[in-house]
Amino acid sequence: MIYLISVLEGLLVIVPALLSVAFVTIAERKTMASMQRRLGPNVVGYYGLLQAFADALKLLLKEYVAPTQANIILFFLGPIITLIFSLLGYLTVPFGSGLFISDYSLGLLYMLAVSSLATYGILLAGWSANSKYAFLGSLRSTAQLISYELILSSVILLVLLLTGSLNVITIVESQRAVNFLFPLFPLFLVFFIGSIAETNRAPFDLAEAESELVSGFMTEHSASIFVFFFLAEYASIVLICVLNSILFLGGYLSIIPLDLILNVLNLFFDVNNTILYDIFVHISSSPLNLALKTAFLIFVFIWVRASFPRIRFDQLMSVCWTVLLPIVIAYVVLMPCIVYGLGIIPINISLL
Amino acid sequence: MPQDMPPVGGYGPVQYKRNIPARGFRPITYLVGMHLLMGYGYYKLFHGIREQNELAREKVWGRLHILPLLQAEEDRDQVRRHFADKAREKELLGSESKVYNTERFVRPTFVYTPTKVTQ
Repeated sequence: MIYLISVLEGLLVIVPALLSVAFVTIAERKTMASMQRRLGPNVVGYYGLLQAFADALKLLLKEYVAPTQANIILFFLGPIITLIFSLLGYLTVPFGSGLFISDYSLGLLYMLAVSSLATYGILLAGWSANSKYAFLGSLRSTAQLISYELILSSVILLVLLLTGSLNVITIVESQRAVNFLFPLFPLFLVFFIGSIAETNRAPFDLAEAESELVSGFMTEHSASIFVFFFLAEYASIVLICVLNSILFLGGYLSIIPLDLILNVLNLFFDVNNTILYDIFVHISSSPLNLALKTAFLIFVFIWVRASFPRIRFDQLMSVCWTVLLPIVIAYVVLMPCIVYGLGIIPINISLL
Repeated sequence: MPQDMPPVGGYGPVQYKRNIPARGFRPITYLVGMHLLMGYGYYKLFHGIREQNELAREKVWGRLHILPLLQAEEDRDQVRRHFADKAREKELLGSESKVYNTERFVRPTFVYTPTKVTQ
């Protein structure tokens, strides 16, 4: 019974995550279509909403072709590893107050570790396909992921300096005073650029540059294993947007200053024992807040993809190592000085 | 046949940059604005973390003040478990046996858990 419940708990997170991935793909196609003044998918379902499911069905029913010279086991293992590790990251995400699979005290470290392991899937898939394009794509992708991982983990280190805990829920709750977007605004920009690069999105999508490599590391993958890569890519986009909103935008905390509104309303009416008060309490840590913030960030991802041309690979690397990394390292020197100087070293104790 | 060489003096400059007028405020405005925003952020952060640390201090002192009570509760539980253990042993073996060759009370390193959890 206990096992059944934990399996159900896992499914309760994974199935909506996959559903959201499906709708993110359709949202991307619709948004980019409207930015380029065309209609986008509009036949399957109302407003083209079921297009993603039709695509998935088509891909699953297609015949898969594996290259004869490929290492078949690794060829199929690569996409599976990538998908599994990009979905595992969801398990420590707090979706609302008390809505989580695991209240893990090293949650952020776990998320970092799991997201780095997904690189191996790409490396394996690209190498085992026995194709030059796939191999070059996987090499590029790995180099890019490893470089930008450095930026992301250094920024996370600075957020940890202000929270004093690796627990994701503690990080969200310690933003009740102020979202870290305000004191760490430049770091948010750096982290956001890093996340775009980390998910292999345009303008940093050198790993699957159609004009140079046919389709990058997934050139030889077709049908259902291609679905795995596709799902993994979008799942990691959604996850990194969730991580962005957790670290900088306050996760599931409300964006609206509810206590201010209550104080103003209390000047004129007595709202403390009304249903309005209950609704406000509910909104103050509702999953809807996280959803709104994440949706906005995903929109920015799509916006960036529709706006910027792809940069060269050497530019990609030099942006990472000579622009972003010096900024982050300067912050790594500065932030402890600020925290020590203001005397605000955070203390987190948990007593039973 | 002369090769297709660039003209003498090289090609003229290519006009690739669009000379569109600058929009928005001056850059210094954005820079100052960002720092004002960050200043507000650090102000709130300062008070927030100070309050959090004060709450942590209060929590620890609260725990320290009820420490004797917690200790007494724990000791009472220990005694209850000890006698229950002795009774169980007597029921199973018929007599009480001594594990250690000493008269001193040895704190047990094990705990019995019921086979059927009722709650």
